[in-house]
Amino acid sequence: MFEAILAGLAALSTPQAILFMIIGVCYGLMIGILPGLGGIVAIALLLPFTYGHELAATLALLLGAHIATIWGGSVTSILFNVPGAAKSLALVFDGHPMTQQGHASRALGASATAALLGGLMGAIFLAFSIPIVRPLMLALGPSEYLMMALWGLTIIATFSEGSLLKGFVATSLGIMIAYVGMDPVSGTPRFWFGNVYLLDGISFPVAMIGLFAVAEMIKLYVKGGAIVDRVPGEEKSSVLDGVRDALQHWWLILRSSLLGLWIGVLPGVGASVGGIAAYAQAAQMSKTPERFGKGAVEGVIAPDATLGANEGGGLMPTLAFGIPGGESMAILLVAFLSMGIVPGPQMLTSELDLVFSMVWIIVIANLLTTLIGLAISSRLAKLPTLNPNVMIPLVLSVCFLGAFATRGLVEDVLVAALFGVIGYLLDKYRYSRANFVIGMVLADMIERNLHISMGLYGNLFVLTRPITLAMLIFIIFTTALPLIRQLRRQKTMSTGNVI
Amino acid sequence: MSQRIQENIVASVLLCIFVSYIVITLGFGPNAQLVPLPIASLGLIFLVIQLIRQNLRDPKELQIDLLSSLTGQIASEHEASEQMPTNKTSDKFQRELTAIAFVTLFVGLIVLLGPIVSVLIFSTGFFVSTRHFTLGKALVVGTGFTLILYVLFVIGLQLQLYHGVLQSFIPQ
Repeated sequence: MFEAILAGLAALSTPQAILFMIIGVCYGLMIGILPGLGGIVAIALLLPFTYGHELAATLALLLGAHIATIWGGSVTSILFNVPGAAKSLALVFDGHPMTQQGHASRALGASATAALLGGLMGAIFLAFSIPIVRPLMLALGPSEYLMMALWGLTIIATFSEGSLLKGFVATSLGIMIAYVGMDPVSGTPRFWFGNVYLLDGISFPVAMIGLFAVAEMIKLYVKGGAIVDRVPGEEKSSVLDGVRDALQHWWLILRSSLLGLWIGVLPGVGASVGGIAAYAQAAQMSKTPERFGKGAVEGVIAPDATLGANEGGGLMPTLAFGIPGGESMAILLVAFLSMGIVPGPQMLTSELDLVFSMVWIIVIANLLTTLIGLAISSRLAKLPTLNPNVMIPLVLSVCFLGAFATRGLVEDVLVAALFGVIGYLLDKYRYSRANFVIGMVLADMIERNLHISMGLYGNLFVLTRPITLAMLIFIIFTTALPLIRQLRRQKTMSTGNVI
Repeated sequence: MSQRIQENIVASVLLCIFVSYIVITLGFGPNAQLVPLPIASLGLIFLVIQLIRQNLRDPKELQIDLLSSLTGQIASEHEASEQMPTNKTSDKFQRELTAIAFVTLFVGLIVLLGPIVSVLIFSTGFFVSTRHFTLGKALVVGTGFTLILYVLFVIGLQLQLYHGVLQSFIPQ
């Protein structure tokens, strides 16, 4: 394992890897600061650039950008009262009041330090969980992997935004789209309508570009006006005050980071919930909860530490089981697959150095984000005032050229545009795009493991494999529980109304 | 058009997709339909339940947002849009159609002329049509941006360019 730790670091010491890491972090900060364009859009736009480079360098670009977007989103929440992404919502509650009171730099300093410490804890968790998870992984067979994929689907649909039923419908749609093209098991061409292009299936990166980046541009045009039109006021404190605040609240950072790790490991419970949960626990455990919502620095520290740690936690199930912890992990998984990185037990055995490269990337990217971010945050903060009339053609151009670049096929541009419209409609009518993507990603894992399980253990493998059966019962329980709770809540509400 | 009607149209379109998918899947061999068929059938069942619920209940009851329930926020962006006055809704619908038209136009240009020329025409045209820049300034910004993308994709990524279907009509 020690060799793998060193090999992971060595892979990142090439000039290309260092350059890609810096580019990724700067780009991620820029995208993160633009409200609505979070880590998902950032990675979707980077997907065309992931071919033909060193593996570690490409990972540095992707993960570096992803990590930087998280803090970028916090900057917008703090400075402009507009969450850069849903996960940064909790930062608005106390971050923006601090800005209004002239403590924007202090809030940014505390936020960056908390995110850094949380991120480091996430990386350490990822590194230390490998020896624990490895024997478990090797003991599982294809039928258990099938159950894990099914569990991932159901739990994600259950926790999805909007209605539960719509969540399930979106997941089904995602899976259905993934089956367009040649069936790898039976060799049957499916849903190709005599079109050779469809035989290769829908390219995941192209679909992601459309579903998120193109759809966001349509949303931006429909909304109209500048994303943000506020300017920060005069400063009464410095960035260093914020750093000091974060270090003084080390116990809060530790608690929040552990919460972030736990939420990251659980499939479907996205970082959006994590940020809110961290804020809630910070307020509940504070001796002066009345300060929360009025500019308490703890209200900034807790969500950022959770969001930072969430990434390390989320990478574990993504790499080990191929089950993404959330929508950003699902897109990272798409990127990994397009780079030839196949999640599974081999990630913790023969590909261990790659996993440690990712651990190092999390550490270095967090450090870089904090250093670069604090140095240029005041300049970057002007970006959200960019007029959409400038941004829309620029981002759309990158999207369509990126879609074309993935395979050099003009049909991919058409697909990206089509998925852009689909993404906009899904979002408008609240059929979760995240569920759609996760369905697409897990579809192959479900089909492959089902066929292997039936081949190895017979058609009734669920009944003959006790662990598989136990997992199936667990899936039914975890799927039914929120539905029962929802029905009970509705019943209580209707009873209340009658009374 | 009310929110309920819009939701019903979307659900009906999805219903057609699910039914068509199931019909096509039934034509495959047992191995090829093993997963797609049950998944599409389950999706169809969920959709039918959703369709029934959204027509029997108050639209507000249909939106259960975990984040909103945690934060206690009541009026989300979506809910706010549901309560828009009619003139604002029709304005929004027009903007949606325009946005989709812009995307379609851009893709059409790419198919006809290839991506690089299309980026120049689209970005310049967009700046001018939205009256953000004058024609001269739009041309300068559009050209500069196209050059950056050319360097990034064609020189940097060594992308083999597609020159559009119109290329075949141009004499060599």
